[in-house]
Amino acid sequence: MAPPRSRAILPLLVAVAATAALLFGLVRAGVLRPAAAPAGAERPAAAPPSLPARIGFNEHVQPLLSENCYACHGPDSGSRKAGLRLDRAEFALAQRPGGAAIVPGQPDASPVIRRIRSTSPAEIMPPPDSHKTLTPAQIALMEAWVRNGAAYEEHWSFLPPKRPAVPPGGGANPIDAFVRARIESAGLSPNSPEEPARRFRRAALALTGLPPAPAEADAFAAAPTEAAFAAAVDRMLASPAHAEHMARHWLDVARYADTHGIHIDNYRSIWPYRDWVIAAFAANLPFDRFTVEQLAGDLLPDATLDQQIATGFHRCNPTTSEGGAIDDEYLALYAKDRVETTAAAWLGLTMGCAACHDHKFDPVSQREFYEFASFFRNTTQKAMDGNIATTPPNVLVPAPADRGRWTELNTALQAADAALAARRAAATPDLDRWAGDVAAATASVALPPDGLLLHLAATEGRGRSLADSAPGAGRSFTLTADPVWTQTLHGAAARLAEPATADLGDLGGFDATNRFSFGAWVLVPEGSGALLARMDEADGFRGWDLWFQNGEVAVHLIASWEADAIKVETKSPLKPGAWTHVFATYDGSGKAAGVRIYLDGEPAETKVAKDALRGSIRTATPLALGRRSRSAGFRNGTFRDLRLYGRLLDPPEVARLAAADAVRAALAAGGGSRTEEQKEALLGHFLAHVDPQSRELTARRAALETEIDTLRKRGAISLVMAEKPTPPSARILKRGAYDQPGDEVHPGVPRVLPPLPAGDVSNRLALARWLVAPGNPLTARVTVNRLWQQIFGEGLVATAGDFGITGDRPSHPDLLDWLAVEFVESGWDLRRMVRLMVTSGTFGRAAHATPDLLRKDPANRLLARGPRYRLDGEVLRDAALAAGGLLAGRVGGPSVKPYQPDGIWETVAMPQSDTKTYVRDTGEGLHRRSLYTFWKRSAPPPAMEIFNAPSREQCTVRRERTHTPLQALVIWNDPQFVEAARALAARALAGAADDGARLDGITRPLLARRMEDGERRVLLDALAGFRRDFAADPAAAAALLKVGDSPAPDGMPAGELAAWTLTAAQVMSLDEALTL
Amino acid sequence: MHPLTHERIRHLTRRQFFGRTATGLGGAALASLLGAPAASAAPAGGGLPGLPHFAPRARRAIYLFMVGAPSQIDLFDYKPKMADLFDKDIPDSIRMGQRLTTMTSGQTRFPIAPSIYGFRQYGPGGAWISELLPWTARMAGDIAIVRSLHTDAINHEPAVTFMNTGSQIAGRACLGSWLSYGLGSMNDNLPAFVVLHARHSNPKSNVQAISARLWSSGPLPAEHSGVALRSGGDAVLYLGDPPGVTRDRRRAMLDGVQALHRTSFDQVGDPAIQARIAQYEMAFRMQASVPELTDLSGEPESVNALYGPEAKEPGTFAHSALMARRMIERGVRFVQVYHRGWDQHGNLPRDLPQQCRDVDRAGYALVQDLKVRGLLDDTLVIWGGEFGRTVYCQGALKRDDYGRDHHPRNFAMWMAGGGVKAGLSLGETDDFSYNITKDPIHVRDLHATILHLLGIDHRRLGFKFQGLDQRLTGVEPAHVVPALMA
Repeated sequence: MAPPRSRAILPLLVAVAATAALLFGLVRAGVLRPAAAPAGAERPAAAPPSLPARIGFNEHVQPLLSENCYACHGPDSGSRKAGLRLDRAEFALAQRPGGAAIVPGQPDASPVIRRIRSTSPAEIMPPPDSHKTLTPAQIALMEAWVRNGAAYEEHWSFLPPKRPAVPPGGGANPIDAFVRARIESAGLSPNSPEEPARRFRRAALALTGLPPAPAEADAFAAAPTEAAFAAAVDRMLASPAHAEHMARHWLDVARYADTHGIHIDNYRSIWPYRDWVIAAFAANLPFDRFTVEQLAGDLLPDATLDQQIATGFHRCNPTTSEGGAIDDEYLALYAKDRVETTAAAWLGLTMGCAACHDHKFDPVSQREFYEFASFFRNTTQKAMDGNIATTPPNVLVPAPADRGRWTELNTALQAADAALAARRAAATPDLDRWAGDVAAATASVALPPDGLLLHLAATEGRGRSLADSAPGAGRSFTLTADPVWTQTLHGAAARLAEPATADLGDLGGFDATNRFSFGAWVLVPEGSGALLARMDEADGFRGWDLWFQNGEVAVHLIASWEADAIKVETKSPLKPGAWTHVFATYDGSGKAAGVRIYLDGEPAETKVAKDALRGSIRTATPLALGRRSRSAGFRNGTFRDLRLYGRLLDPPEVARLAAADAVRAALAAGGGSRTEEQKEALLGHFLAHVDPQSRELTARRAALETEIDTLRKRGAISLVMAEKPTPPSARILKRGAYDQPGDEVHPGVPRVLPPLPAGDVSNRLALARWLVAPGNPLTARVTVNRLWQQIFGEGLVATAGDFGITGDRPSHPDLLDWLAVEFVESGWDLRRMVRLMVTSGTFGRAAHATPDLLRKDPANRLLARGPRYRLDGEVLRDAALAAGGLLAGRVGGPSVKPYQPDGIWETVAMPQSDTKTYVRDTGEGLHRRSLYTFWKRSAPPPAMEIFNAPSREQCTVRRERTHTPLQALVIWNDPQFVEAARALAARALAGAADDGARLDGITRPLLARRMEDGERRVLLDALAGFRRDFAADPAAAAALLKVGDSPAPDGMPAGELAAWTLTAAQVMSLDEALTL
Repeated sequence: MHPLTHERIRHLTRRQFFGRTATGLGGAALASLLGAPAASAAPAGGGLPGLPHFAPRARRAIYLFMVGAPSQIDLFDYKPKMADLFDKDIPDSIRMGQRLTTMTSGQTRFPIAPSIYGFRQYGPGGAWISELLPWTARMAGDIAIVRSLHTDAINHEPAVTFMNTGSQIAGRACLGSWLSYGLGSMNDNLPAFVVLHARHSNPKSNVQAISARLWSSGPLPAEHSGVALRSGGDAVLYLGDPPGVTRDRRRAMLDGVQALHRTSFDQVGDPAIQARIAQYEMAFRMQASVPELTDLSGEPESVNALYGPEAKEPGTFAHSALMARRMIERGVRFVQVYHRGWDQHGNLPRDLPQQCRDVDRAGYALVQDLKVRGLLDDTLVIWGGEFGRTVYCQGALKRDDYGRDHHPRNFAMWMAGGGVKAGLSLGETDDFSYNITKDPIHVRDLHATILHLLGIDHRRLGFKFQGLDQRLTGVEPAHVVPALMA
């Protein structure tokens, strides 16, 4: 034995996992049959190899061939050597020059046998450079198989399951019958039933991810009948906690996270999908519908909002918007991820292997991979996520309480539009009547002058004086130079050739809290300059302006440029040489969102260039026309009808201003000679501003829109799938390279599986339906196996994501098939299957391992013992919170940010990422169930990750389970566990008066039991020490009690509570507390 | 109550138990549990039986990863002829229409931006090194400069992932995890694979993201993931006891817990309980050994003088380099230091010099320090980024200002110690530092060579996942580079 100093630590603490892995390796290699005793120390190493009584191709030969031969003689045509293929009888037994590779019944005449027996380096198979060798036992096995006739079989998982007969004498639950038969045939005997309280705790943790309430566990322990157990299981199955727990497992499969994942890794809004998953489990949605809605809910006829949200499943893939990234490359990656995820989750196949070449082991060709990929290459989703939370396609998901109203509103909006259209169609007679009195009608066109502070019509046509026609103004302003007067259709206008500007005095002295509006008709100036400004350039540009920059329009509100200012600008330039009505309004909110710019009466598309105004914009400098305080002229721009209002104009009012000239012209033209455009302008004005009926309809519609907007703000966006209208197709990518497209292919599924239903359109919906069609041999098996894994800790097929040739064989093939058939025939009833498993005697057996069992079946593949496995990090945290009475019960909603060490995000994030800085929640967000914890892909919650949570960057159907020292540190030192221990201690102290009862108050919520006398002595002795210790060190006690946001209860002696906190922490860190 | 007798465990004293657990779980005890014959091949320090495959040149490694892609033309790949071609378009015969990132694929011109930095030859091999790296130049005789690396990826995220895991797509095991998995640990108290994040000092440098996936074990058992050592807060996550919990109190707690664990093991017989007992002791030891590791007060003044004053500031590259040496001394197998900010698309003359100042002296100091302590012979040191940069300018070109886009076709790194041929300059590129003309070394070849130096045949270190033997070098051919080795 090596000296202790050189021992390794981290890797060595996984004895169990390693033991199991090694054993499985032997099983997989076909050397060991699971039923037989493992190659034990008892057996001399030199003993002649013993052969199984019946040699099966699937069970014994295929594993050996796939491990040692298929890399060169398997399904992959690209790497095949000597044209020889050994995975299927039609090739292996076929005549070749020099005879068939395998001659049934004649090992000595079979070249394959000769080559594996050979000792010559030139001839031996596998060849030396493969670094693979066959053991004598394996060679003997091959010989015997050939001698017996070299019978091939289809791979077991590709044959549809048939319901096997339940073995007799196994009790009421068929699971127990199958398991018992297997145990007995191995010469073992199963453990007796587990103690009731422990069985109850096990069921609660498996079903809800939470320990049971002590009272419930006690009640069951007092009267532990099967009926009481079944009733309790049904209660747990009906609880929201069960739905959350099921959802949490599925979210690993769905690779759910709250950020995009690649590069900037910004926030992604997709939590409504997570809530859909919870709701689906709560409703026990049949698994076939669960499948179809997630993969293709958008393609269902009249897809509901929920069915669209469900398609978030395939929007959970990691995406990028890295500068320089190439679209084709990422579109290929996204499709590959979706193929791999779909194949792993439903088919248990590792199809991703076939992206670059034919699969090495399984009958999936590269062409078939791309046929499958084509289902996912028809999305409207862009390659780049834009680093925005709502990357299209997406849907708006109203808050749960708004769902009904949301539907009503959208219906009402449609009705309002229809009513408006109807009125528009019927309005002509009324319009004609109104327009008949031209003078009266013309007089009514102008916007009433409420709040009009300044109005320069600029129609003088000569001179340098401009009259202000605002009500009561009675003044005029003088330009510093003559403008160039031009004539327009609607009158004169002034072009401000430099240095023509005007001082407009003390008008428009607004502050950031005032509402005001301003604008004019303009022909764009050259370069950049202000048409109207009250801005002091010498004082950090304090003030406001209407700014033109290279043809675009902008509005500034500035306290101090550029740190303390708002700037909003239009996205595209005005057309040079064409009149545009430019108008801006500001609502006094102090935010860029409060600035609107209108072009020709319509709200313009704008972008926010600055949104950081905090200070005052009021300035002593006067209002100026054609410049700011001294420069930035409106160079060679032309304007007319310039207005400044001391109020916020609404969109119809701005539209009215913009339309007024055209309407007047239309009226003047008279009924007979109006152009179509003029008729349109007139009708628009009439409906918007004159016709009472239409105005009322418009007002009602606006109210609907306001309400819709309110609901929208209360709701959330969720990312969904959407299909292009064209039929799906894909190109085969040579060696998987995005820039080497080959043949075009169309949707299809691997030939080894049943075909797509005839007649359907071959799209995602067809794929989804095919997955749950009766003939599919894989989906039901894969799904019940994953459920089994979730509940028992290990699947009947240990490789839950690989049911292919190199995957593990089922430990109980008949049981797996029975469960699969039962699942389908029950209507894909997940809850029924869960209930069956948890109420089985197999699940309820005692978990202890006798030396005999440990030696003969160390990994418990035969299930002679009850399950015993380390709980997931989420369960550990939730259990601690629940035991301490801290767990918040709310279901669903945006993700939350509980305690997390500082710097986890900051260390890895890009400076511009919106998930760069972790700001933890206060209050409820600290104590929600762990499946609501915000999941940043590039820096997942560390306490979860340390307990083997995946990063959610790819589909994970099976978590690892390791034991490392870092896990101990989490349980001991993570504030959420320390706080929970203190809360639990406080409850125990408050709940009982003597130490024994208080100890029960700690162990019952965590372990669902009272400690035995010996255990009690250990804990109470330790407690006595803690008491003495804290009595001597009150500062330490006080410090410990301050951990966590939730306050320690008043009135409890600090030393006592601190001592009990350590006791609670001890119990929380027991292996038993961390284990099912 | 299910009393069990488990002879082997029951008769061990506590002390023997721990000794046995820690060594045995990796090899002998596991083997006896399985009854496998003669499992003596299992090394004492964990890792896989049969590894190393042959006598290693290096037993451990330090990888200084410059995230963002340092410009090879401005640092190691001297191209004097470019001086005459300022603002001339790079010839099509050189560019050969190969793919560009979308950041420059829209450019109408590809004007050459000659490096404005002076180069001189250093060391016995006459290696060309830029004036930006004066300290590196001093140790030209200790390092091997490779100028002919090339990679498959053209953008940071996939390229950094590729450099670490051999795959552009997240999810594979990284180099450090492979070493931990294959070779195991060499110490009792610290993880086998530690990651450090050194901050860059120039706030204007263009920074690329990194993520926990870069030190992930992928499909390998999770305990082979890198443990990130932090410069602020707890050096290892959750290392510090809560306020009010002293070492003695923790020990008293733990004694109670372990007593209950022993009872529990007697009743349940699950070997996982033994693992938990050992793991808790290891955690307790780590709580002491990590603070000892990070406490630099015992470092002599000569060391501070060597690394420079920044070495005293946690989080600097110099501090990280010193920490790397301390970890290597304590038997950490693989230390990876990330330094970001090397993505000079524009303003290269503003940002690159400071990036170099961050790492130049400390890199030199690390190599010298290892040498003085006799550790360099079997410690491999690697310095470099994920790809190179273009000779042509991205954005506006001025005499004294330019930027460079991503260039996967060739780039430069340096390596030292651990069996690397000191003083070597390997590989050549054309006059434009655009195409490799001699000794191309693919990232896979680099991986194969690194593993080789550590005594590993890259073809024989695999892990079965999704039906395939996963390997660092993947399925494409990869070649060890003998020329790089002493």
